[in-house]
Amino acid sequence: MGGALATRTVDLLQGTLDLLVLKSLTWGPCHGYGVARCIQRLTDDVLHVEEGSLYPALHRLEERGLVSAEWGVSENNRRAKFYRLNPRGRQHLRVEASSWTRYAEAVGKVLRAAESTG
Amino acid sequence: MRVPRGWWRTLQLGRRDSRTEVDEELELHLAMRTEEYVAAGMSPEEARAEALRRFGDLARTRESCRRIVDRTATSTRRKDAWSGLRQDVVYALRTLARSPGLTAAILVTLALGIGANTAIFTVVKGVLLRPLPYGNPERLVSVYDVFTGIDLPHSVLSEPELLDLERSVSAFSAVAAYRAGKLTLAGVGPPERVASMSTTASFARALGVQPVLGRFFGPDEDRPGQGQVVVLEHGFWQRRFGGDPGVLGRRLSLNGTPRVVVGVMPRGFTFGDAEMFVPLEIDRGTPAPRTGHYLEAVARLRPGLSLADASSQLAALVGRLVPENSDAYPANMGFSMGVESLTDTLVGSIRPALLTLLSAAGLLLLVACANVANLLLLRAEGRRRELALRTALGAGRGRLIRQLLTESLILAAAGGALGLLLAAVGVPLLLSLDPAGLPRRDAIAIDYTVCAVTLGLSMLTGVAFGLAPALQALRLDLQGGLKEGGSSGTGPRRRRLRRGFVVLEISLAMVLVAGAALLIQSFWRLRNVDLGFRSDHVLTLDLSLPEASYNDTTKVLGFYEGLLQGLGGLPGVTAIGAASLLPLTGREGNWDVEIEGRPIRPGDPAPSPAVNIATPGYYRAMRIPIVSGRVLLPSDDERAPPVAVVNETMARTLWHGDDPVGRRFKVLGDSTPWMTVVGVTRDVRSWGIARAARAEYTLPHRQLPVTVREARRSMSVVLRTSGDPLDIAGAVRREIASLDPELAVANLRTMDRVVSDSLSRPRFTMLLLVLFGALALTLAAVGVYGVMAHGVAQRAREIGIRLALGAQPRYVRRLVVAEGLALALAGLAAGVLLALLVSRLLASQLYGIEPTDPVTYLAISLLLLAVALLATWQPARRATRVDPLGALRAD
Repeated sequence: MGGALATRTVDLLQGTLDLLVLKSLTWGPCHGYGVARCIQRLTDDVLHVEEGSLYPALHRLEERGLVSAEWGVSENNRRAKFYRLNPRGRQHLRVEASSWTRYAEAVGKVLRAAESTG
Repeated sequence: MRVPRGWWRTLQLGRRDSRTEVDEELELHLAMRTEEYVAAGMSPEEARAEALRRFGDLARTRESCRRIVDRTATSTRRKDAWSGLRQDVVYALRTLARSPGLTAAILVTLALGIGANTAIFTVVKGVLLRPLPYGNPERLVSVYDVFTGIDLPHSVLSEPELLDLERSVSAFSAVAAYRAGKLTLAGVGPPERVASMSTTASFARALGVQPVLGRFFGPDEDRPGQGQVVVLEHGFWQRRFGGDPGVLGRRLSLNGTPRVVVGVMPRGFTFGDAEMFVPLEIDRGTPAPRTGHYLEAVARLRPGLSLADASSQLAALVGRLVPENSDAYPANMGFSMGVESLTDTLVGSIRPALLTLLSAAGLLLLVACANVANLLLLRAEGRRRELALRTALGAGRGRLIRQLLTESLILAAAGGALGLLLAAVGVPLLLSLDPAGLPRRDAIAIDYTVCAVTLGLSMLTGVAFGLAPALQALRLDLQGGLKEGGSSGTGPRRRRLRRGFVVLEISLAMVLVAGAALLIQSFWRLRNVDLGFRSDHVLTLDLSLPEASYNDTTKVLGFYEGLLQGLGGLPGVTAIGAASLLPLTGREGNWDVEIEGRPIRPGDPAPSPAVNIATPGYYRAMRIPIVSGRVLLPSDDERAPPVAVVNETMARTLWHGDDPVGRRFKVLGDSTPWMTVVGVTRDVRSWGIARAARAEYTLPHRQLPVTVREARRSMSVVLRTSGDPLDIAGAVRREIASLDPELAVANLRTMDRVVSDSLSRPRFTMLLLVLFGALALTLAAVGVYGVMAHGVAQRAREIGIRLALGAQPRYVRRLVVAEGLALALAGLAAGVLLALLVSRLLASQLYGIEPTDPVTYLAISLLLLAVALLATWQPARRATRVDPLGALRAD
C-alpha cells in the first residue's frame, strides 16, 4: 500500500476519467470510495488518479443523466451515496469505449510504424 | 417566467440539503481511506494526513461538487414544479369536465359578471378616462358666464367678454371662442346640412392641434368679411371627398356663399360633431353689445398654473367689469365668470349615469362571485371524501389547496375569456341603445387596457371565490371525511359560510333591484309627462334658407307661404305649421321683454322669457290647447297690429295670475313696437322631457319684420297626417326639391321619434340597470335554491328519522321553508339598509321619485321574498318525499 504511487505513473488524459468511472460502475452500484478503489485496482496503480477529482466527475455524470444516485448504507454501516450506471450511461460507455479503442489502436499503429523505419 | 413563491421556497430548501450531502459524501471517502491506512498500521493522525494528501485539493473539489449539485437540484426542482402545475391543470380540467352542468353554471355566471363590467368599463374608459384628442388636454379649460340672479349657472359669453379674456387674463396662453351650427353644403352631390363649428383663428393653437393638410385660419380671417375659408374634419374629408388632397383650394357653396377649402384637420381630431370649421367673425374694433351672449370659450392654461389661479384672475376681472358696465351687469343678475376643465364641459353630464352603471356592474360581479363561491363550496363538500382520500394517500395540504385554486383560476380565466367575448358583442349593442346622447363615442373601443382590466378582474374573482373552498380544505378533517362517508354531516362553520354568501347575494341583489325599480318608475313618470302637445301622427323636418339667396324678408316669407301651401295640399295631411322652437329640442334662446306699465328699474334684470316664432297652423298641427283668448291667425300679418301668444307659465309669472289677454309687452330694444297678447296656451316642454316649461311667448312669423326688423330663415315644419307620417316623407322631399333644389332637408322624422330620442339617456340607464337587477335576482335565487337543496340532501337522514317517528310532511316542509325565509329576511334587512345608503347616489338620475321611496322598497322586498320562497319550494317538497328507510340505510 505504501508504494501505491509508483514512480512510473501516467497523467490522466482529458475525458478519460469519465470513461474509467463508467467502466468501474459496470460491476454494480458503488459509492465514490469504491470507484476509487476499483480504478486503483484495475489500472494496477499505473494511472495517477487524484481521488478528489472523482467526485466532480461523478456529479457531472449524474447531472448529464448517465448515472443515477441514491443514498444507501455502506459496508461499514454508514450513510453513503451510491452511484449506478443507468441504460443511457451504459450506451454512452459502449460508444466512448469503442472510439477510445480505435483511437488507441491508431496511435499505437503510428508509433509501431515509426519504430520499424527508425 | 417567474416561479410562484411556494415553489421558490422548496428550491431554497433543496439547496441547503444538497450542500450538506456533498460534505457528507467527501467526508465518508476520507474516513474510509483513513481507516484503511490505520488498518495497515499507521497512526490515526498519519493516516488522516495521507488520506488528505491522496485526495488532493479538498476545498476546490467541494466547491466544484457543490456547484454541480446546486445546478442539478435547481433544474430538477423546476421541472418538478412545472410538471406539478401541469398535473394540477390536467387534473382540474378533468374534474371540471366530470360535472359539466355545474361548470357551465359557473362559467355563465362569471361571463355575465365579467362581461357586464368589461362592457361598461369600455364605455367609461372611452368617454371619461381617455384623454381628449388635443395637445396637453389636461391644461384645456372652458370659461363661462354665471348669472345667479336669473338662475343661469352656466351661460355663454358675449364678444366684449371674450376680448376681455384675451387681454387681461394672463393665466391663459390662448383663448378661443366657438359656436356650433349647421351649414347647407350644395354643389357636391345632393344638398346636405353639415354640422359646422364657427371658431376664432386662435382655435387650433388653443387646442394644440395642426391641420394635417393645408393650414388653419390666418390671424385676420376671423374679422367680418375677411376669410371666406373653410377647414374640413378628417372623417368628412374622407367621406365626401374620398381623402383627395386636391380638395385644397376648392370652392364649396356653404349656405349659398362660396368658401375656399384651406385645410384638413388630422385623423382622430373631433370637436362636438363638427364636420367643418369656418371663421367666427368678430369685429374687434366695434364688438357686438356686452349683453349679446352667444359664444362658448375654451382656453389653455399656462404651464404651472392651475384652475384656481385662472379662477382668481377671472374674479379680479369680474370685479373690474361690473362697476364699469353697470347697465350690462345689473346687481340683481349676480354676474360672475366660471372656469372648469374642458373634459367636464364635454362629458360632465353623462358622468353620473356612467358611474352609476359601473357601480351596478361591480355589484353584479360581487353577486356572481358570491354565487360561484357558493357553488364551489357545495362541490368541495361533495368532494370531501375524495380530498380526504388524497390526503391519506400522501398529498400535502398545500398541494390540495393549490389544486382547488388552480381549478378556480381556470374557471376564472375561461369566464374572463367568455366575458370579453360578451363585451365585444355587448358594447355595440350598448351604443345602439343610446343613439343620441353619448359624447365621444368614437373613442370607445376594447383595447389593451380593457383587456388587462378584464384579466385582472377574472384573476381577482378567481382568487376571491377560490379562497373560501380552499380555506375550507385547509380545515379538512381527515378522519371525519372518511368516517362520515363524505355525505351526511356538515360542520356548522361551513354551513354558516355558505349561508353568509347567500345573505350577501340577496342583499346585493336587493340594492340592484331597488335601483332598477326606482329608474323604471322614474322612466314611467317621464314617459307620461304631459308634454303639452300630441306627438302621434306628426312628421317634422328642419329647413334653413341660405342668406345669400334669401336676402330679403319678402323672399323668406314668400317661400314659407308657398311651402306650407304646397305641403298642406299633399294627400293625408290634415294640418301644417312651422315654428322656430320645436318642442323637446330647444337650446337657449331668450329675448328680454318689457311689460307695459312696468318699466325696468336700473339694477333689476329684465324679464327674459323664451321666444318661439310660429305660423298660424302650428297649434292645430301640434294640438297645443288654448287656455284663453285665441291662437295666431293668418290675418296677423305685417299690416296688422303686432300680437303675441304667451304660455301659462309666462301668464302666471309676469302677470301674476291676471288674464294677460289684451295686455301689451315689447321685445327690449330700440323702437320695437308694443305687442298685444291675444291668447294663452298650455305649457309645452320645449327644453327636454324632464325640464319644466319656462315662461315663453310666440310671435307670428309674418310679423317678425315689424317686431324685430328681420326674418326668420330657420324653421321646423310640422305636418299632422291621417295615416303613418313616414308614408308621405318621400312626397314631402319631392315637394321641397321642386320649390328649391338647392335646399337641404334635415332631421326628417316623426314627432314620436323626437319624444323617444329625448328619452334615450334615461332609457339607456334604466334598461341596463333592469338587466343587471334581473341577473342579480336570478343569481340570488340560484344561490338560495342551491343552499336549500343541498341542506335537504345533507339532512335526509334527520328528516327521514323525523318522518319515521311520525312527523307530518307539512311540518317538514315548514321546517325547510322557514330556514329559507330566515335567509331571505336576513338578506333583505341588510339589503334595505345598503340600498338606502347607496340609492342617494342615484338621485341625479331620478325624475319625480325620491331615492328612498317607501312603496318601492316595500314592493321590492315582497318581490325578493317571493323569489326566495319560490327557490325554496322545490327543496321543501323534496324533503317531504324523503324515504325514511332509504335515508336510514344510506350510510
